[in-house]
Amino acid sequence: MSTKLLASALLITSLWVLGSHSLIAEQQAVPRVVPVGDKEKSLAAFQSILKVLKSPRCMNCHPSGDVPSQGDDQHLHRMGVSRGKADHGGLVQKCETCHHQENNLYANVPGAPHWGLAPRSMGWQGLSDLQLGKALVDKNKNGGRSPQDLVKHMGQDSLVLWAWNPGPGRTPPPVALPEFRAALNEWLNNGAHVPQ
Amino acid sequence: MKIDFSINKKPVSVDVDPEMPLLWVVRDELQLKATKFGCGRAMCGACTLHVDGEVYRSCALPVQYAAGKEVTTLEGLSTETQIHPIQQAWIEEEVPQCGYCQPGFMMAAAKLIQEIPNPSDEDIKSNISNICRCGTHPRIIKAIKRAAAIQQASKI
Repeated sequence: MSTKLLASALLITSLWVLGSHSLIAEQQAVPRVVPVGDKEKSLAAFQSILKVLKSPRCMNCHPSGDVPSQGDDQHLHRMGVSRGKADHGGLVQKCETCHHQENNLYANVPGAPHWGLAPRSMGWQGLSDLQLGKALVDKNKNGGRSPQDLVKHMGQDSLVLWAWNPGPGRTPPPVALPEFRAALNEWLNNGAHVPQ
Repeated sequence: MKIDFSINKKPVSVDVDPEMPLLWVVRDELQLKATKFGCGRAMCGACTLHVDGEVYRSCALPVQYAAGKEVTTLEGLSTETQIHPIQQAWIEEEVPQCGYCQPGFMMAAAKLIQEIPNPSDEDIKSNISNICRCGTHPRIIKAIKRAAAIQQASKI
């Protein structure tokens, strides 16, 4: 009888100790984990960002191959345009052969500073939402940018901002620029989460 | 607005809208008629010329971009004593049919053999997107290769 009592006491003690350890571990982990609510805010903001990234205005010059797309229908760029060695066209025809610092309303050729393709490592065409989110925060696929760098690039770069002033016949992204910038800040300030 | 630049190695000054396409400045203000208007959308290449040695579609290039730079049209491709290899090859291969698009092709081709001294068919096709509706492309390819050979021979 005394043996049974001793065994029961040991079992209860063990369970209490294990439970305490789990509780302690959980309490210690809290400061390292972004609060659930903030993460949700970040992920919700990312959905707005995603709408912009998937717009033809961004996607056309982030090809996964060597030929950019053009137009709202995202057809392959005409005139035999290709990436070239420096992402700015070939040896004869470069991007600036036709594209200049601003939209050309005579010829309706779009233009903005440093017009060119995103590097091949930053190719987005053909990626799922999940893949695009992961690629966006992967320094091997985003030009070595931190989340802060990304927010600066997407919210301030003159070529990115052209998307909201694309000229006749080209549809701007579905999220207005002020809302996009707000979403960038919301995303960053709540942990810069992407869907996993 | 007054804009100064050099055309075919001669300094010029024009007083025009800075947004005016360089094509119309060259043709109507400077009376150099080799450079042609084709599509007006930077697509066909008939208006191709050089600015500081780079190829541009002049129908889509506001003249303000030429300020202080060296513009070269087909009229300036040769020197007073030396015909350009592209011009010589074009004559020898009897390339043009109607001829309208040829100045643009020749300016693009001149840049091509400068960048790729011995171009393959693929080099030519992938680097020149000009359009010829007479279909002279096979003769153009032959002429570019001949021009490249002339250029190389002249350097020996």
